[in-house]
Amino acid sequence: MAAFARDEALDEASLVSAARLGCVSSFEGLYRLHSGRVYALCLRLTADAGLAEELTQETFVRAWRGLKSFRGESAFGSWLFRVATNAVGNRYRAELRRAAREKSAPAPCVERSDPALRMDLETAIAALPPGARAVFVLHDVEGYGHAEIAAQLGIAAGTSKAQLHHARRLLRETVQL
Amino acid sequence: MKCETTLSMLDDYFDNRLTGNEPAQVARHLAGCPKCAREADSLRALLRAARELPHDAAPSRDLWPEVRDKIDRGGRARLRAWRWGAAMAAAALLLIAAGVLVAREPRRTPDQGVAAHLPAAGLMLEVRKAEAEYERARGELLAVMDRAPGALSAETRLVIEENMALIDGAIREIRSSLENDPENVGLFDMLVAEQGRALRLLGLKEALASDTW
Repeated sequence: MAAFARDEALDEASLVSAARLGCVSSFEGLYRLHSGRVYALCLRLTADAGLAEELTQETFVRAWRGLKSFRGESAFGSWLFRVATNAVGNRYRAELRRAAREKSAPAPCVERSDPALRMDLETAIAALPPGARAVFVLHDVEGYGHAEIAAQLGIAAGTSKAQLHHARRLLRETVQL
Repeated sequence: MKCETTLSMLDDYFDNRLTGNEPAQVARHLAGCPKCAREADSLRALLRAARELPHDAAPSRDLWPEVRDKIDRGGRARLRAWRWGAAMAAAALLLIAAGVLVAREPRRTPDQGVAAHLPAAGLMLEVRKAEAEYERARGELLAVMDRAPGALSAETRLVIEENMALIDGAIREIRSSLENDPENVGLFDMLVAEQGRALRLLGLKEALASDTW
């Protein structure tokens, strides 16, 4: 298993090196390795399959354009995740600004603890308000810290912490665990 | 520790953000309070379930063809920009080279006849063709830059504008040299220097290659 992981890492390093030199086929190899994780992240953050597909494409196009800035100081997957989170964060910030301008109704969320409304965790995450959902996914599913989440979403670290508390409370009320 | 205090610290307790003897105090309270323990169990179960969620998902279709298309379109835009720059540089070099040869052409007396002037006439024709090509490429580039001001980064636009100014200057000097002082023995040296400047225009290629887009 360890040897497999090492071989995979070596293969990925080769693909990254070739892609940085402009080899699109190697970049496709990186896409095949990571697109599932990137899409899963985008889907959980947005709760919108179409938007998640769009953001997954945007992530890889941005990654291709920014490959020169990838110095290999972190794993390529980690770097790619930051690209994805930034892409989603840009949309998220724009959405928040638009919502603030239009004073639109908040996204539907689940507030009640009626057992009849209990649902599986994935569905409940999708039903969270966008801010709480983004922080919960990044913190509790992906393992980011509040400082990094705050930077990526353009919010204060204290806001991230408050959103996480809010999300956990809503999920505990609604999810059958 | 009271229930209210314990419950307010549960998030930090599970996130390992409590300090000093706070974790021990919370643990002690949970051990003796079934109500708070149930809350803690619920949160622990949620966090475990979140960590165990699958980290892979398949989109409804293969997204690579669209990613590839966007990459290719971006690459073609960069290539077009480089080609215009290269065409301008090539036109300037041709003008300069032609200018050098014209300047080095031995001065002819009237009795040498028309045939003796043909090489220089041919070169001047090349000069005019190169000028026309340069003007066409320059016009196309300007039109694109005007139509899509956001298509090129500010840095790239600056590089292009600086290089266009250099080429314009080189052409003006060559025209002036050829028209006003075709027999000046120093013309050759001046044009060689201009050739050096024009060669630097090829730096446009590196500038475009290093541009992040």
